[in-house]
Amino acid sequence: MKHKVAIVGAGQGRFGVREDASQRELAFEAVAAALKDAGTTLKDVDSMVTAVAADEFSFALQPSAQMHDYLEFFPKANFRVEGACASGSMALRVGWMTVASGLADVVLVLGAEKMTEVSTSQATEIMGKGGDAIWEYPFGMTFPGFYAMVARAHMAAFGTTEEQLAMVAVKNHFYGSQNPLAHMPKEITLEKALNSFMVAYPLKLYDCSLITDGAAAVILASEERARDFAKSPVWIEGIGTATDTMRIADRDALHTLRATVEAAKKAYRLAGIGPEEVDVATVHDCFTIAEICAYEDLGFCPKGEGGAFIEDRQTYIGGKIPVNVDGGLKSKGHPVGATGVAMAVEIMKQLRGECGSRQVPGAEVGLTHNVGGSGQVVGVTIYKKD
Amino acid sequence: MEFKDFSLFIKDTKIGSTFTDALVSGKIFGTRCGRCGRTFFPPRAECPDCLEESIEFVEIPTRGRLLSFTAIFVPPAHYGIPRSKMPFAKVTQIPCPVGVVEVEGGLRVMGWIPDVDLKALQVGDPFEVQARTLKNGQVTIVLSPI
Ligand SMILES: [Zn+2]
Repeated sequence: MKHKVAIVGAGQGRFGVREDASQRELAFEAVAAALKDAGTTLKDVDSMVTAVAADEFSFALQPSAQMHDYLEFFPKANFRVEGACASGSMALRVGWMTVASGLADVVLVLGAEKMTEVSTSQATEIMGKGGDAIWEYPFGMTFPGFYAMVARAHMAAFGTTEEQLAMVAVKNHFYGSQNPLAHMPKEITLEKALNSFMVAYPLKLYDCSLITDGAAAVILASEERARDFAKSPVWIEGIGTATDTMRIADRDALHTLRATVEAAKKAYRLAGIGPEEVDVATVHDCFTIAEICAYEDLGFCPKGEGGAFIEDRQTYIGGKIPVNVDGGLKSKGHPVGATGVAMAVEIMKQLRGECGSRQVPGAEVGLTHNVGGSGQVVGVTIYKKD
Repeated sequence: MEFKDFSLFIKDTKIGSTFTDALVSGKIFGTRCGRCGRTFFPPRAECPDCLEESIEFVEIPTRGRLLSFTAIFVPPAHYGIPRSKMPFAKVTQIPCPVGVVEVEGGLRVMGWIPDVDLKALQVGDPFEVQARTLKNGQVTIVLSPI
C-alpha cells in the first residue's frame, strides 16, 4: 500500500425506529459525532463518500446529495457507493483508497439508511429483491429465506442445532443491552428465542436482525495528518473485498460464504496477521447462522465447528475471540447502508478502550466483516491500535 | 407465452418465450454454448467464456438431490395475505416449501416443493425437477421426492 491510512474520528447516532428524524438528520447526528470525536469540523475535511444501500426505503433518488446538502459540504467531492448491506464497508474502502492514493488527506465516510418509512412487509419485499429478480424472486424468496437455506445446509453438513443459532441471538442481545445506541437494547432468553414465531424455516424471529434507521461516520486521515486530531489514531492495516454468485443455489457449498473466505485472505495478507491475532471482531450477523458461518469463514474456528464455538461461549468477552460485543446487527440494529461504517466505529472505540462494560480488555487488533446481500459482496477490514 | 408467465415482474429477456413455451410442454430448458459446450441453468443468452450469443436450448437432467430448502412463513408483500378487517380474526398461512435441487451434471434448480411435509424433508434426499402449469396460467418449476 502506498500510504498508510488512519481513522481519526468515529461517531454513530442512536439506532432504532427513528420516527423523530429524517435520513439527512440521522446523517448529521453521525457526522457531528465523528467530527467532535476527532476535535475538528468539516472545514478540515477534503472529500466525502456516502453509503446508502437502497433508494426504495427513503423515497430519494439522490439520497447522498440530500445528506451532503444538509451538511453544506459543497463544493467538495461527495458521491454514493453501493454494495447492498456491505455498502458501508465499500464506502470505507473507497475512502481508504482516496487517502492511500494521495488524492486527499482527510476523508469523511458516511453510511446512512432510513428503512422504516415503509412497512415491514414492504421492507421485506424490497430486501427480497436483493435476490435474483428473475430466477429466485418468483419462488417467494426473501432474505431470511436465503439464509434459512444456508442454515439447513449447515445443519445437514455439521449437525448445527437451532439451539446453537439461538445462542448467537442471546449473546448479541446480552451485549446490545449494554449499548445505549442500540436499536433493541434488551436481553433475551434462549427459550424466548426458540419459541419466537417462524420467519423462514428454521429461522425464527430472534434469528433475524432488525429493520433499523440509523447512520454512522468515520474520519480517515493520511499518515502526515493522523496526529493532528484530538485522540490517538487507529490504523487500517488490511482491507479485502471479494464476491460470489448472485444465486446462492449456484455456489459449491451453501454453508460457506466464499466471498468471506476470499476477502479475509486478502485482508489478513495485507495486514500480515492471521485470525488468531484478532482481539475483537464485528461480523455480519444479519441472521444467527450468518454469524456462525463467519466464525468459520474468517478462520476463528475450524469449518463446521461454529455451532460448538458459540455453545462454548468462545465469542463472549473472556472467550477466544469476542464477537459483536456491540450487540451486532441483531440487537444494535441493521440500517443497511450504515452497518459497515458502524462496525468500524465500534472497532475504533474498542481499540481506544472506550466501550465501558462491554470493553474487550487490552484489545489491540480488530476486524470488521460486512456482507452484501447473501454473500454477493463482502468487505473485511483489519485495524490496529496506534 | 411470455416470460412474465414465469417471472413475476420481468417480461423482457433474450431467452423469453422458448423457455416458457417449453415449460408449458413439460420440459425444463437450459442453454448450451455452441462454441465451448458449457451448459447453463438458469438458461442464458450469452456464454461468459466465449462472449458469444451462439446458444442452443437443451433439456436439462431432471433427477438429482435436494441441496437445501426452506419455507417462507413471512412472505414478501406480493405473496402476502391482505390484513383481515374482521375484529379478533387471525389469518395464518401455511407456506409451500421451496428448495434447490442439484441435478445430474451439477446444474442447480430452484423450485416449489408442494404436497410434502416440511419436517420430513432432508438435505440429500433424491429429488426430481418438473415443469408445471398453475391454475392461473403461470408456469413454474416443482421439486418432488423420488
Ligand atoms: Zn462458450
